[in-house]
Amino acid sequence: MTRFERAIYNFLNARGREIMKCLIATLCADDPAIISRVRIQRVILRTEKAIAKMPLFYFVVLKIGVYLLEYAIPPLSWKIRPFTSMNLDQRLEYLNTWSSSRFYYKRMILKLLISLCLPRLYSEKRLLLSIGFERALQGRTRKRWSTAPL
Amino acid sequence: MVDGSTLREHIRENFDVVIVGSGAGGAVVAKELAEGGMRVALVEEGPAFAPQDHRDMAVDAIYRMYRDRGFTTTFGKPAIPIPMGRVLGGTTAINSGTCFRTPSKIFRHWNEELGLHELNEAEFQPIFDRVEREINVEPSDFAVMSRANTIFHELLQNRGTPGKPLRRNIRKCDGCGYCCYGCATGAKQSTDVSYVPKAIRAGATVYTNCTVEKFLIKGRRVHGLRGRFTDLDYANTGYTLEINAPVVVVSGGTIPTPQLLRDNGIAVENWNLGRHLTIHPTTKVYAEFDEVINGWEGTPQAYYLDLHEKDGIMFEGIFVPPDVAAMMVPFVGRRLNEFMRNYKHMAAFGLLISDISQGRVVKMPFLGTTVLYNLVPEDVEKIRKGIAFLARVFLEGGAKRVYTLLHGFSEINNAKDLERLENARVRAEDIEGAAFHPLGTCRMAKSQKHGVVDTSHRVFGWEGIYVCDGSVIPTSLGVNPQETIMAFATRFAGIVLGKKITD
Repeated sequence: MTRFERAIYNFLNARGREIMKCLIATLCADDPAIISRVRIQRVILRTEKAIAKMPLFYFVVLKIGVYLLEYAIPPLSWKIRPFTSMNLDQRLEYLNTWSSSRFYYKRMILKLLISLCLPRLYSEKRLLLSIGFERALQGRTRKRWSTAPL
Repeated sequence: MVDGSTLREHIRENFDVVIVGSGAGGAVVAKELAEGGMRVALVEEGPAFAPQDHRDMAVDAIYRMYRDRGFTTTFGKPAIPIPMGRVLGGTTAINSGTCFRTPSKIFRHWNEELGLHELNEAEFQPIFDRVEREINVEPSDFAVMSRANTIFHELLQNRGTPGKPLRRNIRKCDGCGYCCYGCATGAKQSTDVSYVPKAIRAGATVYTNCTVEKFLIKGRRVHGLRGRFTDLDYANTGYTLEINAPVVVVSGGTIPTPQLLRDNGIAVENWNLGRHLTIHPTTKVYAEFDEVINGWEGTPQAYYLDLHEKDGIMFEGIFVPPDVAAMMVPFVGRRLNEFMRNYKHMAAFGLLISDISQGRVVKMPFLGTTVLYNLVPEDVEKIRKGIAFLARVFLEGGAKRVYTLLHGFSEINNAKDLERLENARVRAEDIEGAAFHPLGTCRMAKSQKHGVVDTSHRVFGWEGIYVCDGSVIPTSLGVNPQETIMAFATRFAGIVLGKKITD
């Protein structure tokens, strides 16, 4: 890992990465068919890289969002235990309360986190192949270029 | 072409014209003026990519080619992402390639109600002809259309209200389905493969990876600009560009342009600067069928149904690869898995509305350039109506279920759900979508009281500075605007050259 990558990796501390890992696992309901097809550390690293290059506002919101998800207690969130200490069904129910909340900004924070994690999860080739997206192996086009048009 | 990311020297040059931005406005002006014999410099903030460079997944292409890594978003209810290109070709390099001429109704509105008689429909027709020849606009071929489009075509035919294939700027499109993430075959005639190479052949100099920050100003005359070169991560390389030119054209796009003017103290006294923003809010509906659709195979946006005249709604095909789709799915956990597992059975269709809501581009501490935009109830109602229409077409056409991005109506399974949607009162913040056509923040007008530029694109009260991009379009169009912007740019080039440019 280069110094640059290490710096990016430090976006989240070990605890933060644990929360992200737990969030990604929860988003796909710990489904072994999915988890076995992805390299979860790679997904987290790519997510962190993406976050690190975000405009400052999103960077801050996402960082707060990760910890809010974990530690928010009533009245912000109707739970006492940290997100990572819950079992799968509790975590799923908890995320569902966020995603179906009438409170718009709560939904938005979750949406922001999802919009960073899930695209990286679903760009893992083995997972894409398993849902029938063979383009993941073929590449975008079979056309071969000899010279650049520009 | 000068690649600013690898350049290791300061540059100071003199030109007749310098243009900021290489999208639908800037690239067209550059080509027309260079062919007209002027010494032209075109400065682009993003990098240049050749078609064969586009090999990555959609989500990585967004990260590589989109402004703010794809996170340009409105603040308001709802928050609406506005994808914009930060790459040679601007947003034309990342759009679907859909081309529409400006609707007659819009020309009438500009002429009769805004008094912009110079924007005459009859005079624009030969300009449209010329633009369409340059970018090879042709109707989409059913043979390379995504099944998500053709299935909707069949359903509309069964209802007796067929739509039409969209006209697109393509040459030998093989339907790889990645139009919005950099065309890997060079089929899409975005300005980086159509206008920019012609501008270079005519003698224009193109600087990429150069962020323009300062205009050179004397009194109320702009006579050049200063920029800084950046590497591929947009970090400064430490080298600068300074260009002196009597004509400076700002074509940075509807969101960056007013901010660039404001940062330089240009037109700051003009109340209209940064206001009147319209964005054509869009959303889409997924429908699950028994058949395998593989909607990602083929052109994703190739078919449309125009209800603009009647309802102010335009329905256009849309389908995104799974990595992008995953972030839009309205579920988490097992239902998300199920949705993605069935993604190959999904069709999708989108809608865009001609918005009467208006936003603003402002600069805020900590946030930088910020877009403020709230959907007014009339627009919310249009979107709800559009979603309900698509859901009805799909359900009555045999879809097993329909998924919407409307909070509280994520899944529509039967007529009862549909009826509930059709009678629902929806809040703006319940809508999830995107917007692809920001327009109007430096709009053209007869006087300074109503707009930022006059009908020759000159900023009111200033000399030597012109604006030519989506920001000058006076009102929302209701259709994809790239051809309109290109036509405006061609007309503007004619004004600078002192002759009419036609086919």
